[in-house]
Amino acid sequence: MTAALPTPLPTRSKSPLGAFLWALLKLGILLWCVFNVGMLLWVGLNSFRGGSRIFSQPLELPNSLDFGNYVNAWTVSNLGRGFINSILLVAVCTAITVVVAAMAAYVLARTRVPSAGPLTSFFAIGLGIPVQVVIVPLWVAMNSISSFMYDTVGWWDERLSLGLLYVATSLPFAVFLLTGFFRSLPTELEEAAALDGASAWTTFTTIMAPLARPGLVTAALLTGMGLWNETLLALVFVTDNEKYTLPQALLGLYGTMQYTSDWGGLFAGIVIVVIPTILLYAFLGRRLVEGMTLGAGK
Amino acid sequence: MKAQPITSARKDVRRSRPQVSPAEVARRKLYWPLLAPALLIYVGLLVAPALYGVYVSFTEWSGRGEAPVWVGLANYARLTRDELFRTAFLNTLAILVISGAGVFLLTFVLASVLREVRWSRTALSILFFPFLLSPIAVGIALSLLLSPNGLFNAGLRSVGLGELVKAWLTPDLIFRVILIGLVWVSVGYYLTLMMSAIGRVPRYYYEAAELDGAGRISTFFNVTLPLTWDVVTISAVLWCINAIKVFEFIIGFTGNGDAPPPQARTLTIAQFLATTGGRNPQYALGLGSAMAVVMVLLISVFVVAVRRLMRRESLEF
Repeated sequence: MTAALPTPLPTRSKSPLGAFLWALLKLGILLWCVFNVGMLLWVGLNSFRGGSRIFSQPLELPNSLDFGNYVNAWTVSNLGRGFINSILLVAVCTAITVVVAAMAAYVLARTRVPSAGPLTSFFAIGLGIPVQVVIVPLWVAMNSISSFMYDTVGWWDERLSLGLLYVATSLPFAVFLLTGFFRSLPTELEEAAALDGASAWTTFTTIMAPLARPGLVTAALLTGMGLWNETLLALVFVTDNEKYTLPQALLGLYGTMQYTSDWGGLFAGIVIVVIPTILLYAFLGRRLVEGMTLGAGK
Repeated sequence: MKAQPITSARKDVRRSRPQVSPAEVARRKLYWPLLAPALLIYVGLLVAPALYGVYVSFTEWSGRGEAPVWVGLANYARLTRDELFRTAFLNTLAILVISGAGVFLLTFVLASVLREVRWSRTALSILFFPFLLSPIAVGIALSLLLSPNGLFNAGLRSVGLGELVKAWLTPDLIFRVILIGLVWVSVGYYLTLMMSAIGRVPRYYYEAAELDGAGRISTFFNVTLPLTWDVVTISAVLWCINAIKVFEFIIGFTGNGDAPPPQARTLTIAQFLATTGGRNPQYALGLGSAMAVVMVLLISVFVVAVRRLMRRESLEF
């Protein structure tokens, strides 16, 4: 059955006005693209300029390729610390999320038991839970965990609290994405492996997980990028400057601007925060975009 | 027109193979062990806390040592009288509706243009990338661009449009700029969804429309929109969820996590400031939880409404 096109249709206007509006729209899109690229260039250029001139001479170009701003942002403003904290958190949490989600998604997608369907939906509900609802109970819970740990072991790290929450908040999407992915894989290999006497665990780790690699990579990319940009939970759960994540450190740097006016350093900070994402987009853009449209597309 | 949801097709497949294969037997043994870690983390750190959060919204609690005290609906009653909260609530609605209208109008117009030009792929990837970048960084960069002596105003002055120069970040203008900024950041994503849906529409529909002499507007309403309706619906649902959750962009844009001006606050920011956020956290955990519950209700209402209003028989092609 096909979609019927209603008739009669008006003829495509060849009017000069129509053509003019069409050209105007194209020009608009072009300008929008120029604005986006220009924004990047502007931030990049200002990251090499002296702080005081950025706002007194807004149209000036940098006169040398001086990385002083980057050095300042990295060391004095502690963005280097934030960068390392973020990289570690994102890497560890992404890995845990993808492994845990892949195991769950595999059995949810392929086991024909009555609870699989409802449980898949149960995970999907998590996509709509705003993190605000859980922040308060978790903040109290994490406070008691940390004071309990301080009392007994004498040590706790806020980044552990944050990491736990990162895994929990990333899980629903990863499970959702991977369930769809495992469902699309062929069944024959699995059956053949079972007939050969392979255990389900062996089948999963040696056959299904490798087959699902594109899906796992997409899940990892999207999870990692989401966590790299996450700031709300970090602001609530990390209070120690030394343990700030990168966006949190950047926000802190912006907060001190009214006293220091080191605007060049702030621009350098913005570059430091966005450059990993831009590189990722440049090299793996297509896969990223596919992953982001996958959930909505089919 | 035959509607056939994908789910029913899948069930048919399941029903047609009742016998249990060896692989299935093996999988069932692993069902709970493989599911358990995800289920434990999800229930323990999201579902249970969410339910407890709903309970906290009916209590007064500072969270430091003492137990929550049941106060019934007092927090919600307080919210209805709270002037600041009303502003935040209306701001969130404004993002949902006004920015939403902007996002979808632009998505439709841009998609219609990009469908017909050769440089669509390049344009799409350039329009898309602000959505990927850290919203804190994007918000800060935008606020620097629009600062009183920033490039935007300097540019206006240099091309002789000096009378258009405004203090964009002052409390009475800032929220309007945020509404536009959110459209700018978001359009790329919804446009990407739309373009990939258009890419799945068989070419001959467009060729037929052209042969019939359909204009661009009528091609959009008679071909593009009906044949991408499912994706448009899902995009609208995603927009509702994302718009209500907007937080980082505004924090970055106002540049001041401690206390953005009341005019620029949304539900998420009001909730952040009422609980543990900012320089002087209020620790009004019951009140903050009530705000969070309002957010959940708002998301539910809008998602259900969008799905209801946009439900159509799905077209097969």
